[in-house]
Amino acid sequence: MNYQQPELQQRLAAEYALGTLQGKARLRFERLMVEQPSVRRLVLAWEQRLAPLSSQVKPQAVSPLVWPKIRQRLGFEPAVMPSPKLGFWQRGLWAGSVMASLVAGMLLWKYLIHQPEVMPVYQDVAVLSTEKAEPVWIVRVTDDGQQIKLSSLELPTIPSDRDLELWAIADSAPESLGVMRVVNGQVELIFSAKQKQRFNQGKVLAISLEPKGGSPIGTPTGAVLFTGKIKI
Amino acid sequence: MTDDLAILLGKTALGDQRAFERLYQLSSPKLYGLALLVVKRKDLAEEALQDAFVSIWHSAHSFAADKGTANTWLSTIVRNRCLDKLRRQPKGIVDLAPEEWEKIMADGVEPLDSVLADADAKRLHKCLEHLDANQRQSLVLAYFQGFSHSQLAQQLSAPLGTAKAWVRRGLEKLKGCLQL
Repeated sequence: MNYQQPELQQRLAAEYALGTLQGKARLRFERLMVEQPSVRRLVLAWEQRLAPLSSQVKPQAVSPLVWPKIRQRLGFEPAVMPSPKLGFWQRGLWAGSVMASLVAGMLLWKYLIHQPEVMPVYQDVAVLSTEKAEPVWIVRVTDDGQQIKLSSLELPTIPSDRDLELWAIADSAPESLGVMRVVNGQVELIFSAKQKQRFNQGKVLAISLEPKGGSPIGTPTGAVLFTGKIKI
Repeated sequence: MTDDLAILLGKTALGDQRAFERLYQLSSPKLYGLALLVVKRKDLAEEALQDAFVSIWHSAHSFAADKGTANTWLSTIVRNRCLDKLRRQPKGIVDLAPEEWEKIMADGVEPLDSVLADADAKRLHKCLEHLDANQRQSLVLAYFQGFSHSQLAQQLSAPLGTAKAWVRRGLEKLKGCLQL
C-alpha cells in the first residue's frame, strides 16, 4: 500500500480516529504517525471532529476511591484532612458517636490503611517517553527499592521476534535491569542485589529493542525507543 | 479558583496539584460516563479513568499546542484508554443484542436537545443527520463501542464490504459537511 497518497492517508487517519482501523493495519499506521508529523496532524483533526459525540454522554458518579489512587500513582503527598475545631457540646457529641465511627472506621480502614500494608507501596520515579517526547511508560518502584513496575499509557508495538530491555544509565555504559515481559501493558521486575544497585546509581532509564531474551552482549544492540530521567 | 478547564489544564502543566484536582472534580463525572458507555464495566471504566488522569498530568503541556477545546482533548484521551482496555480483554469486545445496546445508549446518553447548546456538538449532529441511517449508525457504534468493520457487519446484518463502505462514505460526508 502506498502510504504517501494524500487520499489514503486521510482515509486511514479518519478510520484510526474512529477506531475501525484495527490489528496490524492499526500498528502499521501508528508507526507512520511516529515517523510523519503531518499524518499525526490528520489524526488530531479527526479526533477533534468526532469528539463532540462525547458531549452527549451523561455524567456518572465516580467512586471516591479513584482520586486517591490517581494521587498515589503520581506520587503526590497524601492529602491532609484539616482538623475541625470543636466546641464543648460538639466534643460530647463526638464522643457519643465514637462507637459508630469505630465500626464505620473499620470498613474504611480496610480500604485506606490496611491496603498499603498488603500491597507494596509504589512511588512514581520516572516517565519514559519517545524521542518525540510522547510519554509511554510510567515507572514506579516500591519503597524498599526491590521491585519495579512499568505501566504503558499506549501499548507499544513490539515485533514478535523481539524483546524490550530496560537499562539504567549512570555516567558510563548502560547496565541491564532486565528483559521486560509485558503482560496487559504492564511489566513487573524483582531486582537482584546487583540490579538494585544499578538502579540506585542510575540517573536515566532507557528501553531498547533487543533480540528475544535480551541483548547478548550486555549493552543495548537495538534502537533505544524510550528514555526518561529518574527522579527520587 | 477558576472553573475554566483550559486554564486548569494550563496550571496542571505547570505542576499545580490543586488545579489538577479541580480539573478532576469538574471533568471526571462526564469522562467516567463516557468510559462506562465504552467499556460497560465499572472496574475497567475506573482503571481507564485512572490511566487517563495519570496521562493528563504528564501531558497537560501538550494541550496548548493542539487546537480544540479542553473537553475534546480530555474525552479523546479517556476514549483511547477505554479502547485500549477493550482491545486487551481476552474475549475482545462483547457482542450486544440490539435491545441491550439501546438500553445502554438510553441510560448513558443525554437527550439530544440538552447538548445542542454546545456549538461543536450542534454542528456535528447536524452533519450526522445528513448521513444515511446505516452510515450514521456505523460511525456511532464504532466510536462508542470500538467496533471493527466485521463487528459492524455482524451487528448491522450486512456483508463486510457494505459495512466498510458505510464507514468510508459516512466519514467522507461528515468531513465535507463539517468544512462548510
